[in-house]
Amino acid sequence: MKGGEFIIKNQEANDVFIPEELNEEQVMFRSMTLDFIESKIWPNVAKIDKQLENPDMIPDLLNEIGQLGILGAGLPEEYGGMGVNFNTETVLSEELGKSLSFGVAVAAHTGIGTLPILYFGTEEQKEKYLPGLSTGELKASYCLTEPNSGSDALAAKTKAVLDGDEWVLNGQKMWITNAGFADLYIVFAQVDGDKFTGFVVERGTPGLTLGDEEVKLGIKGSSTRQVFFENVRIPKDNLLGEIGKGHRIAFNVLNIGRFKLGAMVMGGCKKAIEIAVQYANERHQFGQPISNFGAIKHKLAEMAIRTYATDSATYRIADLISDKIEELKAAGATKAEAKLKAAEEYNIECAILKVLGSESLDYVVDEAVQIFGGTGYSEEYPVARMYRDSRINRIFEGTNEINRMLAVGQMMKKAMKGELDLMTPAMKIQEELMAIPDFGEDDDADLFFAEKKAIGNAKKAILLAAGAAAQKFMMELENQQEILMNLADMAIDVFTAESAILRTEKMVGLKGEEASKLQILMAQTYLSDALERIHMAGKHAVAGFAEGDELRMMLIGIRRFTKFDPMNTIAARQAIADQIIESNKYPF
Amino acid sequence: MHVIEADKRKIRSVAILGSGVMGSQLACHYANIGLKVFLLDILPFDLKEGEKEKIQARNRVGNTALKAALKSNPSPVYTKDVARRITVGNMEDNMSWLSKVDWIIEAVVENLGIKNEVFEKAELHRKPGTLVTSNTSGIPITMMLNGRSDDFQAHFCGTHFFNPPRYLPLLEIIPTEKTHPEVVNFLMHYGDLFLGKQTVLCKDTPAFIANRIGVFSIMAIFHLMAEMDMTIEEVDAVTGPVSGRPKSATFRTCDLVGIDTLVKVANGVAQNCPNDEARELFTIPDFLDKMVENKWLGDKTRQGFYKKSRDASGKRVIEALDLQTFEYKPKTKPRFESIGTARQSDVLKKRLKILAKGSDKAARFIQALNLKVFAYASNRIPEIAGQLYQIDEAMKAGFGWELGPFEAWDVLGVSRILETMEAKGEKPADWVVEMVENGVEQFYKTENGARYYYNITTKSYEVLPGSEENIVLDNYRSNKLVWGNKGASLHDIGDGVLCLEFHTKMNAIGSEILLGINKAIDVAEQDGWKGVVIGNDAANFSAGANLAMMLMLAIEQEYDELNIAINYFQKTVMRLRYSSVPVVMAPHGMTLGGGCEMSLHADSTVAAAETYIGLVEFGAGLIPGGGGTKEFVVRTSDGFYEGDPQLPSLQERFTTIATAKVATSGFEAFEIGVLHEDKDEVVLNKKRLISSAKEKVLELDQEGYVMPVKRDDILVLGRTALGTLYAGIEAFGVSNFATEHDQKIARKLAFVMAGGDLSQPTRVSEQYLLDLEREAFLSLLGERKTLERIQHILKTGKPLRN
Ligand SMILES: Cc1cc2nc3c(=O)[nH]c(=O)nc-3n(C[C@H](O)[C@H](O)[C@H](O)COP(=O)(O)OP(=O)(O)OC[C@H]3O[C@@H](n4cnc5c(N)ncnc54)[C@H](O)[C@@H]3O)c2cc1C
Repeated sequence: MKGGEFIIKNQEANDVFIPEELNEEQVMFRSMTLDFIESKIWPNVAKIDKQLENPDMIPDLLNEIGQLGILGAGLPEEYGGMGVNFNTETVLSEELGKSLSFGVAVAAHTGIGTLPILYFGTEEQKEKYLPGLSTGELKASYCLTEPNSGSDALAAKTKAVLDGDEWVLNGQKMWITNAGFADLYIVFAQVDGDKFTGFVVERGTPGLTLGDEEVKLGIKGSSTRQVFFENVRIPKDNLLGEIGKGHRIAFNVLNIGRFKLGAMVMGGCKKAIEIAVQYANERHQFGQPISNFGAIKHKLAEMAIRTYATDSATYRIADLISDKIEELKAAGATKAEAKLKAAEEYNIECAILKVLGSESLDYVVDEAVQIFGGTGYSEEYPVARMYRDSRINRIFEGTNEINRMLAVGQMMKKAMKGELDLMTPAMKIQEELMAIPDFGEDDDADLFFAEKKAIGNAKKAILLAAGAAAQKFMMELENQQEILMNLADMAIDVFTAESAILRTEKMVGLKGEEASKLQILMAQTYLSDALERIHMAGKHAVAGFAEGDELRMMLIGIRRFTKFDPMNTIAARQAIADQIIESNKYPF
Repeated sequence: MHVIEADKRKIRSVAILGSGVMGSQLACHYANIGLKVFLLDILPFDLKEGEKEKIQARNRVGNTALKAALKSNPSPVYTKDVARRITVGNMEDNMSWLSKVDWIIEAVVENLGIKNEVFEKAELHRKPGTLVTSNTSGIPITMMLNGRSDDFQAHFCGTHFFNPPRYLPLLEIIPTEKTHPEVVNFLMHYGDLFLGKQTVLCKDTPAFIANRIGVFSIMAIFHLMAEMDMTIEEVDAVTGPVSGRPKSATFRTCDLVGIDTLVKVANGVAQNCPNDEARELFTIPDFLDKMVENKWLGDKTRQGFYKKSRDASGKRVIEALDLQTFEYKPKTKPRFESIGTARQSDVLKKRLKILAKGSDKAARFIQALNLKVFAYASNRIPEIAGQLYQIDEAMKAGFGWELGPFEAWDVLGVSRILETMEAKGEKPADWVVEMVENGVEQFYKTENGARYYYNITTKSYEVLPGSEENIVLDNYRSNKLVWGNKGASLHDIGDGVLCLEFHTKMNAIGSEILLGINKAIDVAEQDGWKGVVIGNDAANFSAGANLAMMLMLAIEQEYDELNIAINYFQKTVMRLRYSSVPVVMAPHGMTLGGGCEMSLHADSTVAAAETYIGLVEFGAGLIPGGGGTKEFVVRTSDGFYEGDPQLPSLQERFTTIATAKVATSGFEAFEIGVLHEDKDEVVLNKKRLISSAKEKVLELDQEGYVMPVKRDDILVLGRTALGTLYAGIEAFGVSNFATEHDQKIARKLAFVMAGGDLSQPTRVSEQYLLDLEREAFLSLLGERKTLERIQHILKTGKPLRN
């Protein structure tokens, strides 16, 4: 399945990768990472957050985890890495997502900090920096944002001027993760006024100074500072990539970054559920554990359902990226090129996962606080911190608004370029709307027949709304943000629901229906709710531009394409919650 | 010599000399408008001994031709009895008839010698003052003056009708220097008002206006496509409706016209226009010569650029000629991004702009073609036409272009195009350059409903002739709308009259239009307007109710919503009659189903001659549910006098609905009972339709219009009628004329038309009938076969019999 193609194509369950299929090596990596986090991070979370008192904690922990090889796990062996495949990297991200501020430091270092050199560095630069980055000996940060250019990243004002053999940098960067201890700064600056370009600046270069640590809402353990450049002179060779091609670095690095952020927050969800259910089992009110209460069960179940769906979507894409990397390598690309191109191919899905994961985690931690009640509001307990730390994920690596627009925008772009044929299916939908359904029973012998039909239909609802919007606004659609948000929400929901159903279907094949019955309920419940949301978003979208009969016909169409037999979601959630309560953790 | 003034001249009878395709078709059309027509042709060459005395035999040429014309499709006559106005004769025995007629129309073969002989003979009988026109597409008119009297010359003028003359709206009028101005005025006016044509004044130059420019365009296309290496399908894709040209685009048009005719016209120009700067383009390309050689002349030889044939499995396929290999290959459907994008808009002006911005082959092709056609047209003034609008009008009416070259040029920006021409080496006429230099940036402008053109002689804007008396809604677009929504606009068309224009897809009637009608009438009543015209300038008045909407609701089994929708439709239609202002409908072209029901209800309907109107609901598995069935019952009841048997007339009306009969002209609409002598009328020239409807509103207002009284005196027959109608349906079923489902629909219709299962004839109200009608309509929407019919119509445009 090509990038973005999920919107018009139904993938087969057998073709998706599911986390249940992770191999022994991957499971080993998982437990190694988890051990590290459980033993080194969680006992120290409060200390880590008191960054000003303990500024060395995170750098030291980075060194330590570097020793385990985890920082360089994804880097090619020739640069000191372990060259693990992309699915394994995903497992690592998932587990690191349980480590709060520390995870942010690791992600900034291994992702946006290291990848620009891996992808765009010269051979010399790679040899010089990657081995150190891989062990953690060198720590990296990424300086894109400025006080006046955040989402509008390309509007950066920092300047770079070539003066003989040196570049001279002047400007100010803001919100730079790891800035306090970084040895390398990947810096974006304008050459000749408007040629957006990347550079590598080493710590200690004269003229480079740091602002104070920002006082933040969350991830208080993560170093975040301004970075000032005042006539910072760096060798000519520290140019990264080509002059004027900095946007390629910035955006491509973000594709992988977003994917990994999605995986991390999904791991965070699992951790939060574990903490929440343990508390719910212990805490008694009215003479019984609060986990006995239906209202609490609903929360636990819904937290798990969203996590399960996000998990399914994450590994589905991890594997597609992984396959694409292999395919590109087989076709002669270097490992770095292959990874870059593969992530670019799935940039729509990467953006979706980032939004999906960060919003799932926000939901999960919010409910976790609620389950904790008053103690949830106390610094004595872990959920307050998780609640605060979650929030940043919707902001960095491109705000969720920017990512939503990007997902839809890319989809339209691919359609325009002929890479994604939205037109033919959109035309078919018009025809189908006028087709008389045989009022007979569906052939629902297959498990998931109804679900898959519903998913196929939901995609039609999206194409219907998107097609009509495109026809109405043509090139102007990119400025219709509300509609783009609606379309993005619809796409995210259908993609996620489909991922959950496919994963479950595959699992049934592997383990049988009985062993998968809760997963079946989770997938169905997610789908059932998702269809309601898709219906609503579709309604909002088309009502935003159509009127009269045209609107009415579209609404009938959207409603028809989001229909699903009512299911007993209360019973489903009870069954799911009971399992969570029994295992006292996230058990799926 | 006396020449009577144009507005005093009366035409009662005409003589047509020559009964070829054009002559016989013209005879029908002159008869259509109520004239007595004499159609004369030569004696048959093969007259046998015994036949020489027999009139029938002597008139054989004319008789045969007329018969063939009457049988041709589409029909040249508005109604069948029109033919009775035509008397056939021959040019040996009956030339004396010419002394009785008001107008002699020559339509013999295109041969100057023969034409002159005919005129010579005609002059022997012609009375002074009688008009004489020659119908030709190629021969210089001036050459026909030789030997003619002064009176003849003053009353003589060239005309150029396009075949078939009933349907093709262009009439070129080509006076000679001797033609008296009053004669020219008369023809311009009469052709417009009575023959219903777009008359265009031409100069006597080869091929006149439309063919000169039209054939130039075709020749330019041939050259460009060779240059750009394009196939005929690709060219047709971009030179069709997307760029404002007819559906037949370039090559289907050539096939229709005939390749030989095309070659003749092109050769004519090449030989007779030595100073034409684009003369070289008129050189016939090899492939055309070869086609003529092969007798691949288009439709008349069953193959031209396209050919219908059957594939291996016997399926009908259309093949297209590959100009490289000269072989026919299955027709392809080329796709271009520019065309795809442009097609998304219903508005030609927008499409033209999109194409002008495109960069693919199709877009570049049309851009280049436009430059050539614009430049060529500009250089033809004053050579072939005195003013630019004449060229535009000729192209629109003669070649079916949606916009003439100067109008299209306006859309794309006059000076912008001039710049491109400069860059591409196209040479426009100096007057255009000068016009722009003087700060005039548009060939046309519109102000307060009137349209102005740039007069190249006075170098200033002047009112477009006819634009003041003919109401063209497009000219009102720049004015503020009185009211509007996505499906309808309410214009102030002056003198206290409103015009509600539909503009949905195919003018299908949905909630926007219904709202528009209610709104228009409300506004008129409340704000003191004199009345409302419901009319539009689209190709068709309305394809009927929005079936897609009904189908979707029916599939979802939303019967309550459907009931509400149909009820609203009925109420709206009733408003057309029951309001305190006169409402006049102006149907034209296709006016089907719901559109027809509206016409039935309006205070008056002013229909174009070319109106194809009828209650076609049966084809969609339904009965008329917007008051149409009710109105037929009312009309039956009203046409019935005490003591008369009412049943036969009810049966006739029942059959009209049950066979989904569509009138083939406004006149025939009276015969099938859709238009009504007491309140409705027909206008020949569609362009005058809205202004005539407006006149009608003013007339009704002047007469002191009051709202009609609601009816509760409609006589329905109940069981008596029901039994008879059911029996008839049964019989149709038995003899396989009607399918099961046809019979089911027919029984529902019968039930409504009988007024239900009443034990005896009863007087009922309109609402009673409307309720019956709605109930039947709704119940049919619950039938799968009805839904299948609707779906089929939506998909293919054709009814399904199931
Ligand atoms: C803790 C933390 C760590 C960070 N780490 C780094 C780092 O290591 N390196 C780095 O370079 N940056 C970093 N950032 C910066 C981060 O990427 C930006 O904050 C983010 O991209 C948003 O930019 P902004 O803050 O300027 O917000 P704005 O761009 O000002 O956005 C404000 C709001 O407006 C919305 N918005 C903006 N533009 C549009 C638009 N076109 N349409 C609709 N809505 C719009 C946004 O979605 C948001 O809701 C970090 C930020 C924080 C808080």
